[in-house]
Order: sequence, then structure tokens, then C-alpha cells
Amino acid sequence: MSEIGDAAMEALTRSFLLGTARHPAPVAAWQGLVTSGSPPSELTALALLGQRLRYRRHGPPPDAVASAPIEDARKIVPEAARALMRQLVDFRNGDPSDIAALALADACHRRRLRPHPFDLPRLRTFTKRHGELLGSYASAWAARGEEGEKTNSRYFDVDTLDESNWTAARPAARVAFIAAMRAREPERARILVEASFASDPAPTRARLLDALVRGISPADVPFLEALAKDRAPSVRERAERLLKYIPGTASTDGRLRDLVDRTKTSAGGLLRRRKKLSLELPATLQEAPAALADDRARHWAAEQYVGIGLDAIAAAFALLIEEMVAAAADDVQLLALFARQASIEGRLDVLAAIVREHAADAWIDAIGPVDAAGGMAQWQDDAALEAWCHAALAPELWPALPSAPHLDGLYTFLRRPLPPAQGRELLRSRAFAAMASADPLPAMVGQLCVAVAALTPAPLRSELRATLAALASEEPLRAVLLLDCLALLDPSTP
Amino acid sequence: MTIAITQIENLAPDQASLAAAAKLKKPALWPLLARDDAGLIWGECQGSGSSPYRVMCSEADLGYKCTCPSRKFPCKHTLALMWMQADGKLPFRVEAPPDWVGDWLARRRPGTAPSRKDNAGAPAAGASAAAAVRAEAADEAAPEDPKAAARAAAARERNKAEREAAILGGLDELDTWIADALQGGLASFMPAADERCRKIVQRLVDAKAPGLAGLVERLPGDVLSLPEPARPGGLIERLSALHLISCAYRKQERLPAPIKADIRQVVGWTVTRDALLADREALRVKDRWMVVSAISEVQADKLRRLETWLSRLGDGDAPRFAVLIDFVPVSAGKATNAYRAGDIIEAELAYFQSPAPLRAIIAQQDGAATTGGRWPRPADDVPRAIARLNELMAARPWSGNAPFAASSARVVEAQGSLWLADAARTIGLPVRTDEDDTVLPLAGVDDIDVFGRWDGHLLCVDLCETPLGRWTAS
Repeated sequence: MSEIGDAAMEALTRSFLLGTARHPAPVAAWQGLVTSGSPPSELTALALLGQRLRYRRHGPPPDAVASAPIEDARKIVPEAARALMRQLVDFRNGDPSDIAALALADACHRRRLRPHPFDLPRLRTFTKRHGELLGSYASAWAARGEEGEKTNSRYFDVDTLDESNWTAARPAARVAFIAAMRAREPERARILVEASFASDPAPTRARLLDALVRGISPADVPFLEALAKDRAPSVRERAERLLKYIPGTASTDGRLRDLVDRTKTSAGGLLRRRKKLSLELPATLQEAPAALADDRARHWAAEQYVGIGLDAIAAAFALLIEEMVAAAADDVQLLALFARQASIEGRLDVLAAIVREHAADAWIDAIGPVDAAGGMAQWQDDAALEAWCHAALAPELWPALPSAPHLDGLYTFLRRPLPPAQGRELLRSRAFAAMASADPLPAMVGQLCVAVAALTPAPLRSELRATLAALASEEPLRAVLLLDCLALLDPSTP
Repeated sequence: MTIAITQIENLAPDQASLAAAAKLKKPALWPLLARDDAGLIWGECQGSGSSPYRVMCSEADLGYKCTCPSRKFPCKHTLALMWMQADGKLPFRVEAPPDWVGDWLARRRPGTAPSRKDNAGAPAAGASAAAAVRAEAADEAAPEDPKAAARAAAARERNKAEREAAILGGLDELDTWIADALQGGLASFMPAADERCRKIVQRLVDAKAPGLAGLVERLPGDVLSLPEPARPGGLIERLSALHLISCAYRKQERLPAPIKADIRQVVGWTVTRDALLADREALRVKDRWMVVSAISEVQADKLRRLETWLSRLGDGDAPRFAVLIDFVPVSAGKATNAYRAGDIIEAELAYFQSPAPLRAIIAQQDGAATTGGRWPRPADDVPRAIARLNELMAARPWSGNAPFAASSARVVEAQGSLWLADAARTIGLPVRTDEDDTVLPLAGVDDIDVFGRWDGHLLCVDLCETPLGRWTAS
């Protein structure tokens, strides 16, 4: 039998594709493959050609410009944690957008862990959302196929950034670097931000501006005012917000006058006459539905007058700060404003007084708006955050457990579990006990338990786990899974 | 023998079923909870009706049945029964299975059910279920009237002859159809492939050649799933295989017995499980097997095809791979494979006759599936594995998927596609990818031991042992 060359194969294939009616099949060339004397039929030639194609010679893969492998010095998460992570945050069954996902990503970031590469396809929504907390490899995976992928693949993951390399790091690392420098050398930090601003994308510009909140001063005014013409609305909005925080500007003075005009001063008390302050709300807020009115009014007051220093407000009312807080004891809007301002200024004694003497839930106002990028606490050091928690959180005074969105907000602000003392207080508080013993369990108990699990420090996880496991409901199952997973990723919170 | 919670989670059709099952884990709802020594559990669950639902489950292969009308499979009662057994908190009485459990066992696939202990006249404890089935078959056959038996045999022969004639007629039509396609040109075939195939499929079904009909029915989809440049070649290969089957069937009397048996199965003649188990010529291999791939695919005929690919862990010359194929109606809801990649079973397999034995059934399984352990490193590197693949394809020229196992491989990304190559990149096979990029994380990992299925154009990677641990497609 003879061998069939490529030319004969090609001619036959061409004939079959174009149709043997108009291009008769050149079957004579295949005669050597059949034992009969006559040339094979078209069908026999088809069978032979098909078999010939089956044994096509396999060659080497095509050459390609090999992209540099992405280095990631992080360790891969423990094997036992992989299945739990998939269960919690995979794109089919899990929820990659809730606080559990954020807590997992934070734990990986804290412990310098990364997801197993084989899990990335199933965790793709999770890595897309939290990629920069999960190491360079996951970050690059999340950025695949996106515009600017080539730029992202330059991201690296180092422990120490300096002024020469900080612009090439991932956004979260850059923000942390600027925030840390801002605490030491505010002027220098702003100059670095100004220099890199032109080449940064809008989300990064907005986040870098957030990092300037610490140590803000009149020296920042020209830079921030220039951003009024930035092409990104998010950047313009943040610059405007930062300008509010700078005392002595025209904006601050005008808002202080407005605050004084809106605040009624009266005298109260029988034996000892003392001043009482109450804020008059705009008519639009007074008409809000009762269920929302309180929250909206507190939010409005804190947002409207934030940035005016406590000293300036107290001076405008001719009171000491302690007297001003006491005078506003019956006005939740003013207390919300004072709590926010005390938190920003680091006047933790004032914050603690508000929380313990007047409004146990003032921590909600103190946090302020937090978005996915986290609250300002993410670039504060552990000691500062611990002090803030000590001042702002008094779970033993809470009449009921805060709502799930508020606890989510607290975790998003802290980006780590509570300090042990506050964690213990929370788990042993009347509010938590009431939730756990309620029959039926409150609405959104699953989400509530997830938030509590994210906030619970490592030494108390087993205690919480036992409590949740004893609940007669499957809803806390996700919180139990989160506790199990965190126990493997982050066995002891630093 | 215990069921693991993860197995129950995998088996559950959805999270809601698990949540519903959790609510049934109360002793008050179960007037009966029992088990035997051979891995069979059963119970009665008080539902909303007057009589309780009867639930039964085999721990060995997670087979189950419940008398409730739920259209979810497994239902919440089955999940609850398994869950309670896995928890080990509630006591299960140890006793002989009641009749309703025995009936279910007798109807089940022989071999995978645990050995049955009956009171009298039944096989002794420890006898395989297969033997039990053979004994039952013999008992049933014994009292038949000889005249009636002769009439039935004659009718069977007549039907067989009629079917043979019908199939030969169908093969003629198939050849004509292929010749017409060649005359018109295959370039114009694909745009109307569905319509053109549907007609001949109907003819082949009428000709009682369902196997061939299935091959033609899948042809358009199979070809379209190939990269565009490979489609003309893919179409030629598939039409070529159809004609080859047609020729081989006509000349089957001149073929060796394994090829004849194989070609008859391909055309559509079935070999029942009982017949295969009773066949003393059938190849039987008893060993430890690792599940290397568990596939669930819905076919055009509304049947779900469950394929379980097994890799033999022991040494010796017997076939290294086997595939178990089961079909369940799609209307039965989400059905998952009882096994997962990485499971290990100890079993005797009976192979269907073939020049390259691959399809098999479980004749006898010892114990439940276990997990753990590495898939043994294949003896062949990529070039040798490709050579072995060619041998397999030569033995069955009409074969579809062929198993592929290689050591020291690596996945490389080139020109937007993935390839499985040897370490030196001297030879490689293109890899089938999906929209989830499941295979992509393997790119760049060195020294991979890989199991996959070669469909003639693309390698579908199913399981890999890598320095980063095991990777599975599911």
C-alpha cells in the first residue's frame, strides 16, 4: 500500500467541500490504499480521508510571546479553608459582595495570604471586587481582559513603599502609604499626590484624596480648590467635602453662621438654670416619614456642618465643649454632629461622653458615610482604632442590637474585628442576648450574624460559634461558615 | 460506613432542599429509623398525608428512593435521612430490611446495592447482588411452559431478523444521504446541518438504529463546538466514521467477536446489565478505582447522560480506564453523579465487549466510596501518551472520546488558546476551554500529571495532580 501525500489529501478535501458534482473527487490517487483493482468510491475515499485526518501529526504548540509570570510572594490559603471560601463567596452559591466577603479579603490581606490559583475561576466575582487585597496574582487575574490590563499587571506586592516606587503599587497600598506619610509630613504627602494626580485614573484620584483627610489644613486649600475643575465628579465631590473640613475658610464661616442661626438657645432646669440647644430642621426633613425622619435628620446635620471645629462651635455659643454637649443632650441631630466632629478631630473624651451620657448609638454618626473603599479608619493605626472603639462603642448600653446595615457599616469602617474588650462586651451584652433568645428570630438575622461574626475577635469566635449553632434556625449558617473560615485564615488577630 | 455531610451537600438539588431537610431532622417526625449491617438505611417520615413517606438509601453508592411526590431528586426526606445518619445523633435500629426496602433493592442496578440478607430462600449473607439477580432470573425462568417459551423464542428471532433488515435498509439510506452531502458540497452542508440531519435521524430511528441516530443527531453540535478552522475536518471525520460504521455493520460476520460486538452496540443493539453480568466471556477486573471525571450532560433526546470515568489504581495488564454510563430522564429534575472526581471505590467491573474495552458496569462494589490519596503518576509522558492514544483510536476507528493520561506535562497559553505540551514543548494537544476559564490557572504550572478525554480535536482536561495540589474540572 502506498502513502498518501498532503497534496492528494488537500485535493480530495477541496472536492468534498465544494461538491463532487462540480468538482469530481480525485479518488484515483487513493487506489493504492484499497485492495480492489478499481479506484475506491467517493464514500470509501471519504472514510479513508477521515481516518487519515484522525491521525494528524501533532506538532508543538504555536510560539507565543511569553508574558512574564506574575510573582506573588504571598502564601496560599490553607487547604482546609479553600472549600469554605468557595462556599462563602463563589459566584454560583456564595455572595461575593457582603461583609463576609470583605472580612475574608481583609483577613487574607492582614495575613498576606492569597486564594488558591485553582479557585480563582469560581471566585472571579470575589477577586474582581476585592482583588487588590488578595495579592498580585489574584489582582492580575481579576484585571484580565479589562482595558489597561497591561498596566495592572505591573502591580507588585511589597512590604515597604517609598517615594520612588509608590506610584507603581496597587491603589490600596498607595492610599495607605500616603495616609501614613500624611500623619508624619502632611505637606510632603500632598505634594506627592499632586505630582501623581495627572496620570492616575479617577477612582484612584478619589481614594488618594480620602487619604488627605488626616492633617488637613489651610495649606491644602489651593490644591483642593483647583480640583473643582477635575473631570471626574467623584473627585470634585471629595475635594469639596475636604474643603469643608478646613477651618477658617469662607465655607466654614458661612456654615457656622447658619448653624448658629438654626440653633435655638433656651434655658432649662428648676434648681439650676442651664442652657439648652436645639437645632431647627429644614422643612423638607420635617416632612419625612416618621420611621426615617430621625436617621435622615442626624445624617443631614452631621453632613451639613461637619468640618466646623468643636472649639469654633462652642465659642459661637459662648460655652465650653462639655457644656455644649450637655446643652444638646435632648437634640439627637446636634449630638450626631458633635460625635462626627469629635471623631474627626480625635477628641475621644468628647465622643465617649456623648456615647456614655447621652446617646449610646452616636457611634453610627461618628463613623460617617462609609463606602466600599472603607472608612477613614483603614489608615489609622491599631492603637488609634482601639482607642476609638473604646470611646465610641458601649454595647452594654445598647437597648437593642443595631441593624445589620449599621453593623456592616461598623465593620467597613474598622476593616478588622473589634478589640477584645469591645468584642466581649458585644457578645455578653443584653442586646445580643435578646437577639439570640428572640422567638421568632428578628428579620435579617442571617446578615446580622455575619456582621457580628466579622466583628468578633479571634479569641471569642468559638464562643460566638457555639451561640449561633444553638439557634433554632439555618439562617446563621453563613456566619458559622465565616467563623470557621476566619479561624483558619486568621487564627489570632494581631 | 457513613455518609459525609459534604456528599449530602453535593447531592442536594439546591440550598432550599437542604434547609427543608434540616427542619425534618426531628425524631418526632420519624416513627421508623433503621439500618442493616450492609450500609442500607431506611425510615418512615410523617409528611402531610395520612401515611408516612417511606425513604430508603444505600450508603455504598448514595442510591435512594422516597415515596413522596416531590419532583426534586433527592427530596428533602431523603436528604434528612442521610443527614441524620451522618450526624449520628439519632439512633438507627439495626434490623433486617422490610419488604418495601427489599423490593427497591431488587429493582436497583445489581452490583452497586449492598448485599441483601433475606430470611429464607435467598442468597446467603455476603453473596453479591449480582448473584442474587442471576438466581432470581433463574427462578423466574424455571416454571415457564416449554411451548410458550419456544413461541417466545421464535418471536424474538423473527423480531431480530426484522430489525436486522430494517437496520440494513437504514444504512443504505445513510450512505445515500452522505453521498448526497458530498455531491452538494460540505461547505454548504453546515448552514442547514440541523435540518438535513433531522430527516435522516428520523429514518434511522424508524430503522431501529438508535445508536447511529444519536451520532447523527449530535453531529451539528459537535462540529459547531470546534474552532472554526477545524470544522471542515471535523465534519469529514464524523461523516467518515458514519460510513465506516455502516460498512463494518454490513460485514460484521467477518469481523472478530469484540469488533462485531462493539459495532452492534454503536448501531444501537443493547446489552442489558443482566446479560452482561451473565456473560462468562465478558472481561471482569477487580481493583481499586479512582473517579477521574464525573460528567452530567443533557442530550437532545431529553435524557441526562451521566458518565463516570474511572482510573484503575492497581498494577497489571488489565485496562487502565473504564467509563460507567447511566441515563436518567431530564424530567426527573437535577440529577448529579453519585461520584465526584477523586472518589475511590473498590469494585469489580464488567466490561462490554470491545477491541479496546472501556465502557463497563459495576458488577460488585465493596464498601462505600472513600476519598484521599493521589492519583498515581501515569507511566507515559506526553509524546508516549499521544502514541497510546493513536493505538486506541486504531483499535476503534469510530470511537468518540478516548482517555488520555500523561505525566510531566504543562499547560501553555499560545495565541489565545491553551495547549497541553511536554516539558520541552516539542509536542502538544489543543485543550478545550470554557467561558469560566477553568483550565487557565494550570497555565504556567510545571510537572502536571493529567487525565483528560481526547475527542479527536480537543483535549478535555478532567483531573490533574500538580505541585499546587489536585485540580479538577468540576
